Amino acid sequence: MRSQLSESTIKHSPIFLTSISIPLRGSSRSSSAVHHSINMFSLAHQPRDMACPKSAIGEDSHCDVCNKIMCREHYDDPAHTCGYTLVSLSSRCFSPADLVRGFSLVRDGYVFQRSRFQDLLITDKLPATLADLDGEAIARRIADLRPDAPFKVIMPRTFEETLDLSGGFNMHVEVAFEDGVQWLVRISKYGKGDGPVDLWRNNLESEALTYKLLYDHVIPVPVVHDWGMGEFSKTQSSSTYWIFALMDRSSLSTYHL
Amino acid sequence: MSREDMKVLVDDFADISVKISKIPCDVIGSLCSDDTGEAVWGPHLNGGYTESLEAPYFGGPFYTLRDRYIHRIDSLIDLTKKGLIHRLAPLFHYLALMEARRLVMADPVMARLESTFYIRHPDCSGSNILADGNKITGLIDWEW
Repeated sequence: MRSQLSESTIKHSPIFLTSISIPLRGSSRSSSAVHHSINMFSLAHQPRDMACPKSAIGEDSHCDVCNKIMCREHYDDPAHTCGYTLVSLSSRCFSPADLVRGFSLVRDGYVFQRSRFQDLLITDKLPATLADLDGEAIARRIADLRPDAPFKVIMPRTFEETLDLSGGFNMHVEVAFEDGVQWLVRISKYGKGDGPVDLWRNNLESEALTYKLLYDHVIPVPVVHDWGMGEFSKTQSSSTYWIFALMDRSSLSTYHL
Repeated sequence: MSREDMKVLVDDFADISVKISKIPCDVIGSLCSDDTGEAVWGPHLNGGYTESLEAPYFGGPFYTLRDRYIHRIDSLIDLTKKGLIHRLAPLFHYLALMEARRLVMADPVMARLESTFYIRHPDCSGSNILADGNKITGLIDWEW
């Protein structure tokens, strides 16, 4: 499992030196059908320990095994007993040879964690997001955005249907208007307690404004009708949502150029 | 997809990229809204690690590459020193970051005050390009 990727990493030493393990994670990404749209930074969307403000820091304070984001103190805390070997290695000082070995372990750890992580997203996050989703709130918002246009919110009925329109971190609900217009509601799968709300709000706002700027310059991007945080959640979680105009359904396919 | 179709698709992508590069942008930063709701260039939301524990989480906007990279490197050094990142080999990473810092500081091109930048997609992989046949219909995922 380790061979190909870890070797190519070591050969590309500039990447190794400056970007640490992030490109490794990205590089194995496209192999997964379900996770075709994972953004490498989206790992930071995983549940955080909100009791500890240091959890605002992203990837590297993330325990690959128990899938929690934590600070060094919490990571090394005896109460953190997920038992993976990396925990005991973390306090050691490495020689360059150890370092290579250490990163091989990280790679293996990631491979191990990756499959577990996928399981978690699919088995835990998706049903939880679906149960938290407020269909009536979606319908109210759609009616506000396009008054006097009858429509139907097509909520996924089964787990398989949900999975069908689901990426690594987002799920989608289709909206069909009677006049043929289709919209797509994109809802992030993370729930309550996913890190500082203002951080996600900044990120969300930046993305929305970028879409608008690009659209104004006639770049092909989806039309964003609305975006926000928490409104479609029964528990007012910090889940983000987008409402896009759905282009032709066939255009939803993507290519790995 | 046939070779010809793929070529059309790639050409289409090149045209779009040229168009994006011409959108006016005079800082290194990300869009945010000001008090009146107008879109302005604000802190450089730079995914991966947040650069501090409190809002605004990221620095910028910047006007030189030096400012942009030194801010990033210094925040990574700070987080490494605090034991929040690079836990496996903090000393190695500290030294690597110090070396990166030295290289950036020594580079005259990085120090140049620029007035023209361009918009870059943060994760421009094929999975973020929507296409219908050989025609690109949408570029998605502009977060960070």
